[in-house]
Order: sequence, then C-alpha cells, then structure tokens
Amino acid sequence: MTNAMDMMLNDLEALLVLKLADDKLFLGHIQSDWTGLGPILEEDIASSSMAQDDLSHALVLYEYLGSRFSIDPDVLAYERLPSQYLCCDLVTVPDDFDWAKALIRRWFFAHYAAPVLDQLALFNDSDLVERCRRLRAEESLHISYLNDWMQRLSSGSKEAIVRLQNAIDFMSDDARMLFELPGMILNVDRPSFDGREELFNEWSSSTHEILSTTNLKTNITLPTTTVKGGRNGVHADHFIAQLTEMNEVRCKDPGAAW
Amino acid sequence: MSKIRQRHFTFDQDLVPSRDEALKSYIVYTSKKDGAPHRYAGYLNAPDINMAVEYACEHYGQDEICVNIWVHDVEVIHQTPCAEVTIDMDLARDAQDRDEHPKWVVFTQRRRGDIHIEAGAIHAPDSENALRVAIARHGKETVQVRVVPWDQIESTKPNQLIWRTHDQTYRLARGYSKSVRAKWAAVRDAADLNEYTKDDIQNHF
Repeated sequence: MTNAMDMMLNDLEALLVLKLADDKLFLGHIQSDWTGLGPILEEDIASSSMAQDDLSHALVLYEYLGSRFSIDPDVLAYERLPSQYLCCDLVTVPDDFDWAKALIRRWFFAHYAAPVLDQLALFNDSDLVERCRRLRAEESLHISYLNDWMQRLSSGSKEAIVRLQNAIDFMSDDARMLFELPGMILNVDRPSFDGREELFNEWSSSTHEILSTTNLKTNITLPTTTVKGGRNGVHADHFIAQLTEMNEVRCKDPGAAW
Repeated sequence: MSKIRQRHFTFDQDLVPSRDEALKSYIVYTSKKDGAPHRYAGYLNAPDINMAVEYACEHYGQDEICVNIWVHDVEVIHQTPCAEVTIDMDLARDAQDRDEHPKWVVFTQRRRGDIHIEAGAIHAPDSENALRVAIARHGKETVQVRVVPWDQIESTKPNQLIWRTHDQTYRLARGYSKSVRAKWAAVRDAADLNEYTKDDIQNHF
C-alpha cells in the first residue's frame, strides 16, 4: 500500500488529478456545514446538493487514481498523512457562517475547477478524459448558478455589496494559492506542462467578466513559484482541524464496511 | 454540526423574519424524457423566476431523471373549479382557437387528487377564452383544466444538463433503502441466526 501511495505521489499527472480531488473533497465537506442553515429553504437544498456534487466529483477522481495505482478510494480520501493532501487553504478556511464568504469561496473555486477539468481532459487517458468530461458539464451548472448569485447580490443593497467586497478581500490571499503547484511539477522540463499561467489567465478573465458588471474589486496575482502552501503539503491549522474531524469515524475502525 | 464550526452566535437584536413579499411562489413541472409531457412536480419560493429555475433544477430536477423543467409564478394560473366527476363540457361553448392570438399551455387533472399534466397548447385572446378552448380541446374525462400564458413560463435551456451524469442513487430514498437492505441481508446471512436471536431476546427481556 505504501509503495502504491508513493508511486502515485511521484506521478506528475496523478498529482494534478489529486490536487483537484482533494480541493473538492474538502470544499464539499465544509460547504455541507451549511445544510440546514441556508438563507432560504430552496437555497439550503440547492447548495447542499452542490456540496454533494463536489464530494461525488472527488470520489470520481479518487476512483480513477485508485484503479490506476491499486489503492482503495476511501484510503485515498481518509488515510493519508496531512502533508500528502494537496488541497489549497481556500477550501478549508472557515467562513464564519457568513454567506458572502461561503459564496465567494465557491465562486472563486468553480471558475478555477472548470479550466482544470479542461486541462485534465487533454491527457492521453480515455478513462480520465471521460470522467473529466462528465464533471465539466456539472461544473458549468455550478458556475451559472454562482454567477447568478453574484449578480443578484452585487446589484442588491449596500450592505450586500460591502459584505461581498469584504469576503473577496478576506479570501483573496487564499484564492491566489489555487494556482500554486506541487514542487515536483514545477521542476518538470516540459514546456507548459503545468499550465499555471494559462489557468490563472482563464480564471482571471472568467471572474472579471462577472465582476466588470459590478462595483466589486479584486486584486489577485499569480503567486511566485517559491511560495509553498497546501499544494506542497504545507497546510494551515484549519486544514488539520477539518481533516481530523473528517476522518474521525474512519480512524475509529479503518477499513470497516458500512 | 461540525466541531470546528462550533461557534457561539450572538445577536445584538431580535431576529426579524424576512418580509413575505421578498419571496414569491412558483409552480414547477418536469419532463422525464425528450418529448414527454411536463408533469407537476411541486412548488417553491424564490426571489425571482430565474432563481426559481435554478432552484427547481436542484430540487425537483434531482428527484428523478429529468430533461426539461418549466416554472411559472403561481399567480398566472387560470383554471376551472375542480369537478366532482368530470368537467362540464358546456363550459367550452363558443370556444375559438385562432393562431394569431397569444399562446397558452393547457394542463389537465384526470381525477381529483391527480397531478396536473401538460395536455397541449392553444391560442386565445384572453384567459376566459383560453379556458373555453382548453376545455373543448383537452377537457374530456378530466376534472380540472388549467391554462398558463406561454410567455409567463420560464424553461431550462434545450439540452441543459439537469440530472447529474454520475451515479446519484445514494441521494434517492429508493437507492438508499436498496443498498441498506443489501448490506443488512449480507450481515444477517453472515451471522449465526440463532446466536443473533438469543442475544436479541436477552437484551430485550
């Protein structure tokens, strides 16, 4: 098992899949905290449904990695060392049950996940390509829905706009770290294998397309390649807290069948 | 609730329920496959009709496989009173259907308590005439006929993804009960049934 895990963690393409899977797992988990607390009933249902999508997407990607490296997807999700998770801090930073923060987090992330899925769909692996194609269609649903929210709130009351702007400012440092890459990938001598700048440009232009219709401002730049964060296994305390809670049941009886 | 999120909420003022007029009620119909009539799925509250469509996709669109959704404001409905047995076809007198008139969608209810199902579309100058035409064309063997102006119905986009493409059965009550039943059967078969019942009796009596 350890060997299989090491093999996966040393496979460049696997790392690119893993970072997205980890983002989605933790985002789905933290967003599920809102279940029962949505601002209105229908929003509660809709955002919970989308949080489930994110968990499902993580599973689809873990299953792919699991079948390629012979690892149980549940082991991938729950039984790695904290430094072996590649999610960014954006997906675990507490939103303090502020709807604006929760929304901005999801909105930033969905606009990032879509081009990442496009990128993965270019790999020479029909199983992965097919999986990404399906997830991409659902990501578009999320984007359209979150854009609707952004446009609605940003054309609402002054308070709504102030809270959205505060949420953007609060999430900005973590948002730029979406584009951090595992060191191993940065060292690859294959032109534009990482797609770092392309992803950032695509994300910037699709988020600005919405922001330009509002009075909201962002100032987010691509981090330098020397900055080390979640994608290199260097996580904030809130990641450890969420991981500990998420795998609490699993750790009581690893491998138990449910 | 999540442990890392166990925070104490403080309110410096009383919570005020949101004003009723902030949300409107919308009726939702879903079509299960291409060309299949739209059937009443339920209703929901939303700030406007576009959000109502988004919510309908996540709510009623995830109950069953679904390819299209219609949503309209509850207030744009015109319908006959619900008949005891079948609708009085005399109500259809003088019905005139002309293409140059606005389009209305007709929904009918076959028996009391049944859901409303799309029956077709007609053209009429106003709601009164629309109901007459709807009864004449689609009212036989029904207890209620409803007409809705076509331009008041918001629809999902053609070929829009609503039902998810990956396995969603875990979300559905039937998917859950099926997998739980299978697991329970496996547990039961594996255990020594006599031991099981002996323990069970001991625990309960």
